[in-house]
Amino acid sequence: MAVPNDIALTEDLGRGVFSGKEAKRARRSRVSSNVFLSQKGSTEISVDRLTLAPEDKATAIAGKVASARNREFYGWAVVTAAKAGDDGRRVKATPTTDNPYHADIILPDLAAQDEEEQKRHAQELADTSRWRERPNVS
Amino acid sequence: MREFTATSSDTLPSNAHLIRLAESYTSPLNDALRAHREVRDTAREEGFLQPSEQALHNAKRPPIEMYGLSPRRFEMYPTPDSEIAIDAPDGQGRSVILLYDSESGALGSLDVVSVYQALHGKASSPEGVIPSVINIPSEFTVTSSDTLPSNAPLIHIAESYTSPLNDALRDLREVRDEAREEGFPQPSEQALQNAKRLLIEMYGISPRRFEVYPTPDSEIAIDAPDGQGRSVILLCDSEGGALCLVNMNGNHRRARYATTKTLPDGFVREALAGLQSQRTFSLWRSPTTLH
Repeated sequence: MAVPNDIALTEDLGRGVFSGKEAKRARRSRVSSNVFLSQKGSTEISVDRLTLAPEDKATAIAGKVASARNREFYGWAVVTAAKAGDDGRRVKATPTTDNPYHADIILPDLAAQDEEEQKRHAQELADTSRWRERPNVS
Repeated sequence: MREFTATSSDTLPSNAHLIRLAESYTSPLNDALRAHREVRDTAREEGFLQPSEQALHNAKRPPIEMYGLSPRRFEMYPTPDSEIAIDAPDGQGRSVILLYDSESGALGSLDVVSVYQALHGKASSPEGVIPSVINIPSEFTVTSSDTLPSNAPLIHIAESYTSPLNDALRDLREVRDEAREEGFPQPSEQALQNAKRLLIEMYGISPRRFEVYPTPDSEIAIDAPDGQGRSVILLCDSEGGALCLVNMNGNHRRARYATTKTLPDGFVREALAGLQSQRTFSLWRSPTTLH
């Protein structure tokens, strides 16, 4: 079944977490704002459309990303599309060959050259996020 | 709401001057008692050894007695050594912590007057030491014949090595390792020193579990999330400056500092107080029932 391009406001978007320390923080309180920082010079934050992606597929995709980075996948920091698209941000489906459930949270253009703005958005996204543990895969 | 019922005079502490029970099911006392009921769950979540039934039993009455002496929120939590901590930080850089051991051997106990005096910032113990979260003796045991409670196998006050502050200080010590693991540039020695001082001072203003971690910009973050969509983050940069970011459910404020010497200033204090007041408000809005 084709993945729709329109992202519903109620969809859960997951930011993969590949750090054991981050996972511990998330279980204790929440992920750090680092998790929602965009790459330098970019305004896009990669996420997975967890509402649409079957759990095993989403986990397998995240596992591949982890392997490519020589890291381990621990889970997702999850925000709703409504929250992700708040405060001037947008959400956009950006499927790739490897990940048909890929999407981006896009920061306002003004944030591209303003690191403090990027940190502010990262803080807000982290504050609204909830933790979803990686499911056990047999 | 369940009411307290005293069925026998011997269930009450013989030497308590004042005990106020059941004044409100949302009182700090009942918050502490709820934390007591959740100690085993917390230990499980943290991967700690389970405290013994005896430790649980022994740790239940003192908060009630201590609340009578000094109505305040006592933090109760398990420790990695299967102890149960009753922690009374005063927000002024001082605290009294009672650790209930799971073992049966009695090493000492604490008398009611000492508890009272310690809680009120007077001469606290036979050693005359008020433990400070900043300058605390590594460990000391108070012994007294006039003990509270009489059946406690072990109560001692120790350095708050299991306190939220020391957990955060441990994270700070591991910041360089975490930066290495994450591929971040190393924070400077100055950032580390500034973060340590500010962490301790911020804990004094608002005792809570601060998250401490490195950032990709070689900063050290001192992060106070409240779990309700609000947080205060102080980023100590490697040049000796800092950035304070405040998010109150989407309402943002921030302040940039060229030096941390003036910190924590009114902005940081107000932000932390804002988190605290919101938390108190939430508690009152969402009272929990006793089980």
